[in-house]
Amino acid sequence: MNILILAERKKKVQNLINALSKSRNTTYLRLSKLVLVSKKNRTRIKAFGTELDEYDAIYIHARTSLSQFIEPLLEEIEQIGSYTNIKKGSYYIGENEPYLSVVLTQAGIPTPNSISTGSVKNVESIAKKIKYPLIIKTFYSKKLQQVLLVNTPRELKLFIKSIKTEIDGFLIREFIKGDIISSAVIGEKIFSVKRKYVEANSKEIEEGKKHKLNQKEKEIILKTLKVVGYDVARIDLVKGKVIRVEPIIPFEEFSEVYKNQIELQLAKHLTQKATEHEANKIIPYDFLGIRKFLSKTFFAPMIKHLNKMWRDKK
Amino acid sequence: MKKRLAIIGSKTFKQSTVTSLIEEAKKKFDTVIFVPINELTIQNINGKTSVMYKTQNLLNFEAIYPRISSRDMLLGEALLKAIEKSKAYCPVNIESYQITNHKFYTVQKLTNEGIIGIPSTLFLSPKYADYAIMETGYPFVMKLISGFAGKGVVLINNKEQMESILDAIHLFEEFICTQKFIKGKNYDIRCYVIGDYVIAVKRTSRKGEWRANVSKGGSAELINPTPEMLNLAKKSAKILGTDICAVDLMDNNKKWVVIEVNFMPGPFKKYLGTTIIQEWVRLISNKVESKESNQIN
Repeated sequence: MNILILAERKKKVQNLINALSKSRNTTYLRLSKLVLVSKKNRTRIKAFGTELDEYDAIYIHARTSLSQFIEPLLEEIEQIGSYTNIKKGSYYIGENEPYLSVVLTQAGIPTPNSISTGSVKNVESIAKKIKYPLIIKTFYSKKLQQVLLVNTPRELKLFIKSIKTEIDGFLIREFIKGDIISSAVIGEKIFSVKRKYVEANSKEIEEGKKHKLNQKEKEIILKTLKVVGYDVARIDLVKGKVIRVEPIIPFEEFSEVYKNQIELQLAKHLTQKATEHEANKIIPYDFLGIRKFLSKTFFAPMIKHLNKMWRDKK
Repeated sequence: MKKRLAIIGSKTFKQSTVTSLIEEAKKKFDTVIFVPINELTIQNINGKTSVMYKTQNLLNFEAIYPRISSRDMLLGEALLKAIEKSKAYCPVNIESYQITNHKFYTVQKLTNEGIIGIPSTLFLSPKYADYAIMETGYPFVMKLISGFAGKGVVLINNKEQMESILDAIHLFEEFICTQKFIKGKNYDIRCYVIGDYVIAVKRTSRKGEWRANVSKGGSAELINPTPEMLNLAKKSAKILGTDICAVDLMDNNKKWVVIEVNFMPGPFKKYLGTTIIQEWVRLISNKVESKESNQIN
């Protein structure tokens, strides 16, 4: 049973690696060491010193801005059949706020009212539909440029006048006053922190207090996870509405409240998933290295087909 | 039955194409509107999603045809997702938009389904470029992931050229896709897929230019597609789940390979008149009528 951790920097996942290392076969690999190669009739993942199909569970810890690399990578991990914490398509959702808003709304998940547009000419009329105070976010491509809290129409006019750079899109949403509940979600386990609302700001996670979710909050969070396609995520709620969804849990911030419980839970979760994966294989995993060997020969299409059968069976 | 069509254009739309598209569409639809995507508002209010242009919710139209590029991704993805749950017929979908606007992902998706493309690699860090280039060899074509109309495409002949370009690309945090360069051909074949119908066009590059894009000064002429071309084009479109696209093919040692699939192909009006545009409109109109008659039955 093997677990692979893929991350941009080892520092970000060091505690997780430590939590996993004692009794499991865990490998860390820097994400930038992967190369995807599409040639002849198949695509391979080339990784320095390792083969991804050796792993039962692959945990990916990366910013959504890397979606253009992660999504093709997920396409291949799906072919391999290993467990991973993110579903194909979910990084495109996570990276794009207007897109995320539509996904959540269509799924019936409570979110603040929001409107997206590409034209500054629409901003003032949009603001009339969404009551003040409101939050305006500006984007260049899908990258967030600016977040602004606007309290009055006058402030809005000043903001519009101040725009000097090219903007691809605006997202205007209602601002909901209230304590924010930030949750680290791992499968069905949730660790929540209540962050007190203080004068248009909320305290940071590390200054918050442990919070016990009510049943409704729990349902919203788990449904959000499923709809977006993450198995591990950070989700923020305010007054029962989802305001933030990210595939990376900021372990350091949560550790002030939960110590290392989150990394331990994640380690437990990955081990469980890896164990399930190993138990369900059609071919005994790499029995004498046979599967690995055959996947590089004339029998590669047959191995691919068997992997697909196994995934469908799952 | 009233038939309404909304054509959503890219921020950088070409006026002549839009004018012809509206003219042709008005022959088949009662109402035709054209809206550049940046003028839409995509609203999520009280649990409902709508796509508004002035006071009209475009999701209530019978057909929506988004002709948008990679530059429109921010709103494009949200728009296509909103259309998915509506009753409007749309010839394209969000997956095809995301994949066709990603040079490597297109090749990967088709290769994994048995359509041979040009050997391609995708990597994050210039540090491992050598590792990737082992797979394609020199010369190779380096593409920025979402370049279009031949932009963001560079031919690299040797290691020195590669190193200087990689440094520049890394500064802009672009992902790098490399593809083997197919020598000796100054033309390619663009297959317009319009439902079950395929129109093939031979594109020849201008002298001194290695890219065959008409926007780079190349020329175009209609040809009869071979069975192999037809099969590749239709199968590619089917894999991507799109009714309208253009599949670009190149001759590689007497075998056709797919170079890329275009989500928002230009109709080559200068060479083909309104042939392609008429076929797009015909398809969309037929699909709307067919949907309506299925509902009645």
